[in-house]
Amino acid sequence: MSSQPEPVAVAPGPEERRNWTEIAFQLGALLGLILLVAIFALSSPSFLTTGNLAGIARQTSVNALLALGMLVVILTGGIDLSVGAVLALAMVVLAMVITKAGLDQSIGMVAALAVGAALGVGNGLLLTRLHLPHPFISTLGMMNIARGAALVITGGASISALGGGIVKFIGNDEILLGSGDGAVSIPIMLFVVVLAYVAFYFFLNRTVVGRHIYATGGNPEAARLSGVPVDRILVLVYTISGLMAGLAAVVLAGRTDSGYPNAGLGFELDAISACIIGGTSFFGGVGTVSGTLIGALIMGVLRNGLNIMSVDTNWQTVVIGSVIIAAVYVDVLRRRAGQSR
Amino acid sequence: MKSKRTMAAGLAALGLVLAACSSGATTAPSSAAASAAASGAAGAAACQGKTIAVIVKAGTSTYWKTVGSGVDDAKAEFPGCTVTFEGPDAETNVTAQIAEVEAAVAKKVAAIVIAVTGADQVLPSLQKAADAGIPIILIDTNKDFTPKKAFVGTDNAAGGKAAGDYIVKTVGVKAGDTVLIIRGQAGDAVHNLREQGATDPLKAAGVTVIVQPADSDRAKGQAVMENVLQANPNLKAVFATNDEMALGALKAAQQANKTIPIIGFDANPDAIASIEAGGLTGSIAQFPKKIGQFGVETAVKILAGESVDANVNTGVELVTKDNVANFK
Amino acid sequence: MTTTAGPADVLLRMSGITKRFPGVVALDDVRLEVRAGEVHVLLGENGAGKSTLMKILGGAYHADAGMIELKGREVKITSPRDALDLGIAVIYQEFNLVAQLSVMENVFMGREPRIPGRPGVIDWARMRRETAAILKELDLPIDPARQVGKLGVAQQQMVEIARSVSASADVVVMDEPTSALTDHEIIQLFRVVKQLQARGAGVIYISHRLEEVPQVGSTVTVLRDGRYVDTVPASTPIPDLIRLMVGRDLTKQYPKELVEPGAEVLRVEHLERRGVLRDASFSVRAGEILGIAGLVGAGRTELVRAIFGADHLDSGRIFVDGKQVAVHHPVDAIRAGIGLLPEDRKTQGLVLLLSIAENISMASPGDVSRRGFLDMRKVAARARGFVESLRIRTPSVHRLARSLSGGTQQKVVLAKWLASRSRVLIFDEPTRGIDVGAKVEVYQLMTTLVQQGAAIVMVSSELPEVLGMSDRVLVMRGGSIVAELAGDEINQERILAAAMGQEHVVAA
Repeated sequence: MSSQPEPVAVAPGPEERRNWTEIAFQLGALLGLILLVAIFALSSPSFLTTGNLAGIARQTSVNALLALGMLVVILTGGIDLSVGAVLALAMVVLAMVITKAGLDQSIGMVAALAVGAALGVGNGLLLTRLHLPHPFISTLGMMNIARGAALVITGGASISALGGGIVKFIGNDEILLGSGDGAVSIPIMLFVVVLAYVAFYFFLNRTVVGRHIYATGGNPEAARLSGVPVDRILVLVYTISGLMAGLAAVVLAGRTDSGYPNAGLGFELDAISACIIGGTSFFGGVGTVSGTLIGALIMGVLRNGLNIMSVDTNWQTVVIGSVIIAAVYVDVLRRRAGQSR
Repeated sequence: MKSKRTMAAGLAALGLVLAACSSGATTAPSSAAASAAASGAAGAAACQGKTIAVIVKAGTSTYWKTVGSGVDDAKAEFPGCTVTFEGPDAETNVTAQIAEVEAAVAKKVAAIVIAVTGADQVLPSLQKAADAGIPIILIDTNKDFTPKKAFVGTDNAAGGKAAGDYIVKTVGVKAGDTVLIIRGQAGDAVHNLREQGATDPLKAAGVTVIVQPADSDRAKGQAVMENVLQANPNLKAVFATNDEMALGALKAAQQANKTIPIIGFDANPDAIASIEAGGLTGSIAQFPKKIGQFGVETAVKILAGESVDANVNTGVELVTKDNVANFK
Repeated sequence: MTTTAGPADVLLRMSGITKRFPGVVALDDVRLEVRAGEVHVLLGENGAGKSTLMKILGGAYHADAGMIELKGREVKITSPRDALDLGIAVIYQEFNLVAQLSVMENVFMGREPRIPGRPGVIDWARMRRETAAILKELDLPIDPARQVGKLGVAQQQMVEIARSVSASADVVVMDEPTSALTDHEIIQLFRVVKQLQARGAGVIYISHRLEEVPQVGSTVTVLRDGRYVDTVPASTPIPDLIRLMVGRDLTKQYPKELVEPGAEVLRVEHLERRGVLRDASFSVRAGEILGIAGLVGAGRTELVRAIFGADHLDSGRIFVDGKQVAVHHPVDAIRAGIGLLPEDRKTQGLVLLLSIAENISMASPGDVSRRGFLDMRKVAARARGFVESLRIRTPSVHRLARSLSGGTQQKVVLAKWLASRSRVLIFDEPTRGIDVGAKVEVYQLMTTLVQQGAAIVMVSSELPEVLGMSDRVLVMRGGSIVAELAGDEINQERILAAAMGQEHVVAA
């Protein structure tokens, strides 16, 4: 313990310095994840294998990246409903750059990131310049525009066989660690995700702009009167969200070796769920990178385990729905706990 | 979010003509086309100045556009009729389709030709349309809906059965083997029929069948295949109730260095290319263009007061490497 | 000195009330006796336990120990609903009104009269009639059908009171009812309180304004640090009340020191904002405290917000150190060395979900970061410096700003501007909602700041504060500066006369 008489003072970073209830709720999500893993591990011997864990990593990556972008948006009290559609548009643009224009995969990747970031800037400007009442509206509009554009430019058809290059490397390739029977192959995209989470951790906790994001979400008026450029922060968070959708598009394109306009249907809801399960408050100002990772893992492990246990199709829908409701209820409980002090 | 159909897709038209010549596992299409053509003149008179509304599940996907090209063909047969074509932005958008039905009733169209989306949520508004005296022709997806005048579409159960039979007879799975069925959204009637059609012959052969959902999405199909392979490394064959999921499953199998026969459904261009390249084992072709064409023709016949078959079957066929050339 | 009353005339008795929160004992064996027809003032600094005690009475909290008796019978209050059913109405500072609904719907919310025999159908005529009767009884000229959101703050408060009357509440709790009211509105409120008193209700009245105690109260109970101190008559002299509250003598309430003014630091010329500000010009020098007085709505807050760049200006010029600066956004003002301590710290001054340290560094992150990366040790070290120099009472600079009392929060806002090296400090209602002991500390800090060469602009609705702390006073009315007073001219009569448009009478 430190010399200061603090109840919680074990070398805390800014996000761990929050009060004990928030830590308890974050721990709650982690306990939930451990519980899920335990249930699946006991039910099926194939769950806790290196092969399956690599599979979970691959299946969680896209949502984990989208959820990071969603986190910074929700921290400001906003929401980005367009990420699934932006992913689809970035993915088909990437595929067309590679197959139709015949350019290198690296150019396709840059194009996907640029499309994502550009649509994100659009979301931000719709909110701050046109003063639309809530980002629910602006991003809902953008969702339809992006989905429509993806359908228009592809004529509704999927594009397969993207060949080799950086996109395939990121989304498809694996690196073999060790040798012989003990060798473990790790998907490259896992490194991308880990890198992104570490970068976002430092960005949100250690940089001026990162703390301004929390300030903007916690109290926009106080932030503005303290000289925080609130409008610029808002444009930035939607840009980040769009950029992450572009990055997720690169991963998904590499993974499926294709671009298809119906990609990412409903992904925005998975990303929002991951954030909320991880303890992010819909009301802004509260949420952590580590919690979001736990939220994304809960979603990924849940789907994976249900498949492995061959749970009946109709019941899977019920289980996933129940977990999302339970997660939102945790948010309600936390708010209640926060108010009664 | 209604989208206008663009150019008619010629592929399916070609496939249709050639399918008639091809041999293989084909269920016989009914003779609706011939009889409709015979009554063409009367039909044209019957719907002169009237509107037939064609409402599909999604205005934008390749499949429904092919249905639309069949509608275009029928339109050309009956130049006096106005035929509209629309559908929601996504197959899951049930409320948008309800709104389209209500709009058609409000416009007092002469007949509604509809591919009902979702479970049964659209039926009450269709009932109102029927109560208003508008004849209803269901296409693509059959429903237990008493006022319907006819159903025009693929026999999805027959398509599923063709896949199941192929897995038993040609792939040669035996009693005790495990086969995976990857299906679309839970509760979707079409996928129910395809799943059931394939399950019956597999179960009869004593095969263990695993059914898992992947929402007709390629990435989700890939994830499901990865996961099921973890628990069942000795999987003998896979049937996916659409091609996107089949292609995703193929990617997962390749990633795991496994060669497993995979059969899709729809025979879309991506799947055809994959079959040709030795990827997918097969895909169930249906004839969406015929669905659109026969649907409108049946509506015209009803308007002309002619009798129609309650079930107009547009047929299915299994595409494999042997006959893939016919479908390019 | 404790007043003992016979059980017959005691309306409410709370005894042995104890409430613990994790790590704190908020209330320790506290008692309170309220008789019918009295206005019982509950006094205490922030954190003394007044609000907690009232939340227990209102059913929002549950006491760990203790007993509540109503008219001699012990009662259990486990929810706000219980409290209402027992005839206890609590009027919180944040009103529990639905702004979109009418006055009568708010008055009868949850108890809407129904048409007999037709379940669920509201009897609008009866609701309107009964609301009108109550408003008439309280002598309030409010239309029952008017939308609550369109009423002023004072009138909304009257609606809350009307609601407690319509619920025939025996005990009415009012938590700082005058904090947002003008003098005129306060007089109206006191009249309504007297009406409640005359009806035989027991009113529990929480206030920070000691001068109100003899005007409105009958009896006073003082709490300090979660403990019962004493119950005394409302006629007790104010210095004695203060001694009971803080446990010591406050030698000087307004620690004003004369400072020789230095060079002009801020000058504004012809500031205009359509419908809000008209041709406002003034200047302030180093070492000077410039008070800005006026009635609510006179444009005082609007003037300082516009100077700070928080609101848009149509025209006008702003000079700092004789050089014109273009202020379009708070960032521009902060760069020029201006800091604003807004009237509502919770919604405008602080990000309550962030730590004290982060709030202090918010306006000047450049000093504690390199290439955009914050040096968290520097952030904390700088904060610790201010915690010491401003005597900010907190166990750690990493505590959330939410956990601090009003006075401490004000010091954190001040630290933010000192950290950004502001030389013009604009205090908008510097001591609103701050308890007596902390008020003096804020005044002492202001004095120290001007001694060190800062210039202070102080907007205040509390005349004693304006009189006690200002070197010069501007009086605003209708968006214009209508008077400038200095030296002996600064007195209550002249300020009020100017504020109410009667200056020429006094001048004559």
